[in-house]
Amino acid sequence: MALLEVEDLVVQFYTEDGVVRAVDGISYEIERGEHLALVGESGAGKTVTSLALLGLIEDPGEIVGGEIRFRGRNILECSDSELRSLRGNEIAMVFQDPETALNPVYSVGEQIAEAIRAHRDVTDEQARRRTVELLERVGVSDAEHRYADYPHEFSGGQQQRIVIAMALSCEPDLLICDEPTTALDVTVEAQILELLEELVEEFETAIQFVSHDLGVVAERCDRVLVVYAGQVVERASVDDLYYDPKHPYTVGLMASIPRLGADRDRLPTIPGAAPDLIDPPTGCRFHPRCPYAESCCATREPSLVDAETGTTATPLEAAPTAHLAACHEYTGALEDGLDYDVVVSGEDEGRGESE
Amino acid sequence: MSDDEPLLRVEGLEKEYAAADGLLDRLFGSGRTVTAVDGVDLEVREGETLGLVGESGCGKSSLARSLLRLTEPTAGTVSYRGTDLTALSRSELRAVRTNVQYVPQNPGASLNPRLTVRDIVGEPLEVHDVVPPSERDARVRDLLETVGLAPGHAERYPHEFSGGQQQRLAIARALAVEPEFVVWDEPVSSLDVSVQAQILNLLADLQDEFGLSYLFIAHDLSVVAHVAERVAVMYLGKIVDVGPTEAVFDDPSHPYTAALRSAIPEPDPRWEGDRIVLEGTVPAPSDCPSGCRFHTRCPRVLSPAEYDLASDTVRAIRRLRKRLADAGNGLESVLAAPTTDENVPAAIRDEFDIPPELEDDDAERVLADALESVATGEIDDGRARLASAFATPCETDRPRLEPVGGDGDRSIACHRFDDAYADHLPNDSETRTSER
Ligand code: SF4
Ligand code: SF4
Repeated sequence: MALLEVEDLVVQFYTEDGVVRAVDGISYEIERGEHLALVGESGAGKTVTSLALLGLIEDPGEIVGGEIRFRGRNILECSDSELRSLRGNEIAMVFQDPETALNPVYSVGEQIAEAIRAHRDVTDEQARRRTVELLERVGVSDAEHRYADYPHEFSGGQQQRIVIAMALSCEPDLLICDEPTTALDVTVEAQILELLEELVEEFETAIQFVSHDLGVVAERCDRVLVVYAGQVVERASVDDLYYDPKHPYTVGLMASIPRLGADRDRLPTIPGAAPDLIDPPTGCRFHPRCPYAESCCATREPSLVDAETGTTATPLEAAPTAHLAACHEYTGALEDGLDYDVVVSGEDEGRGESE
Repeated sequence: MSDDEPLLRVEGLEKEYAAADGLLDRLFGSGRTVTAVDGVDLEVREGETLGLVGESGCGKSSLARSLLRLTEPTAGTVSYRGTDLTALSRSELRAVRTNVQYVPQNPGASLNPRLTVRDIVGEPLEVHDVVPPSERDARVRDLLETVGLAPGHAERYPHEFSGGQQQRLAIARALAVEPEFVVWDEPVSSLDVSVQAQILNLLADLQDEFGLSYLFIAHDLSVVAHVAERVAVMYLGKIVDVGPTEAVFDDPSHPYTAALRSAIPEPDPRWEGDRIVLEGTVPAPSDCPSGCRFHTRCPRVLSPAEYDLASDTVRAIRRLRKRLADAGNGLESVLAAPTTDENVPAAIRDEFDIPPELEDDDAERVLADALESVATGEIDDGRARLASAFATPCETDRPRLEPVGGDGDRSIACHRFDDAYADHLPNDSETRTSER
């Protein structure tokens, strides 16, 4: 049994304009210690999925179907107090904006110590000592003195370190990172990602990594789920996804990244914009933007299949290593088929060799 | 390369702000100032895109805003087609503003939410009297079409648009006055990659179609590398590296440029390289380091001339020196954890990754003596020995932006590129590689 199993999750939001199905039947699993990425455009359902795992979908949103099993237990059936104990203790989170995760009126030390006390049977002094250790561990220098400082007295990068310290304070089994470094400079991003990697290795934490940065995903994740318009369109190991993408949407995403050293005047783009989820396109949701769309694409919805064999495969039933994609190509329904080249490295030769 | 006068020439530009550290400072003014832009020279040539990169807090936006006098520069000149913008009156400046446009970061926040698209794009047409009132609506529709928005959207409000569409709207507004030169401040930083690619292509198309010149500010180096012909790298108020994009990113470059480039996450799972992870963040301008401003974070600091050491060793000793300089007078402030090791000097070497014996005998003697002093509680003495014996010119001498290579197109501010400091290159850096 995987650490986390999400099965056929459906989340809806009720808006003035109609019902938005932000997540429409997503399934996946995360193994112990594994790093799984969810990639896709804003509004594709990545963040909503993360919030659902934490039991944080609020009015006007609602989970209307599916199961989220954490160590076999369905989170959706947990009481509020069970959820609270799960959050922080076994599942923790690091979001894009550290300021929203930190309470401005408490010192950072108190906040972390409080998180520890809430989940562990420790004395105040033990909680304090553990907090100082954690602050030091995440690279806050002079932690003993900075314990009593308030969040605003730290830079954005330092705040994110503090959030990470808090998230890892109870050694959770699953850490949800939603764009954890998007607001930071590349230099600070590199520091934070390196720190995160060291820590999760130390604690054997699994990560659900939500990011739109395909560079970060390539470096930090084992497997990737590509989400489009609330559905999974491709699932693969990170190597397969970058070197042998199967879904035209993934191909388009990969091609549109500017790569250092690539000499291109124009970037290949995916035409149009992400669809309106109140009234999503019929058939394959990607068909209005897909360069390979044929008539069947507008009428029939492709299901997720094993791209090698063409057999229907739900992510939970298929082997975790199977490469899955939702495109008619893999069931032989396309007449002309797909046709694209994949260029991964910006430079042909090994980059940056010194003379 | 032509010898023609560039479109825009910035010389010795400075921008100081009143320092406002604490509440009292803010209430009464401390009289102290911090320098956000400190003597910048820069050119933008006709028809080109100059990229400007650097971490937050390095002064990129202050530079852009002060060169357009959106905030008044403290010193320096900005000549635009031979006219010094800093000498113009407000009304003369207004006339120039139709040639020069600034598009701020985050269009969502900079577009007035209570105005319709027609008013947002139409306002500059009216203010600068670009077209007669009767033709304004038609022009707005044209502009919307030019940037890829439906002309029929003229009656909508900004919030009805996605992030990418709002950026298109900001672009249409900037184009309304038919500028020649546009400063883009992080135009794609908050967009999804697919939308980002569309906007970058649009900017390239507009540049071709209207013969525009751009100053393009971004923290994403791969984006800048894609759009810019030349790049300037800024650190703590100064340009430290400038030249043709390929040269700046590929050649041996300024250690700061190399670190920025190296930090970009590679969209290739098979990439295996050594990443230079810079420590800390840009120091506050009020706390500007002596000598080379980058020396507090530079992974490639020069070594003291008298010794022959490897870069790693130089760095390790610097860390120890720094710890000693900040430390109190007890051993506990030098070592993170109390040592059970009888041999304190060895424990210190261990903690700072200093080899048990340095490859240079003279350096080894000085270090050994200093460590002995520390071990016997004479922290002051150890501190002084290390401070004087291992001083590097990076801490004392300010590097100037000087041309490197033959054609004068590339300039770097770093002692490594100055032959006068050749003796100070650590012994493993003959090749001056870019470390990637
Ligand atoms: S099913 Fe059709 S429209 Fe959808 S991705 Fe495949 S080819 Fe494109
Ligand atoms: S002058 Fe010294 S500190 Fe400054 S960038 Fe060059 S090597 Fe680094």
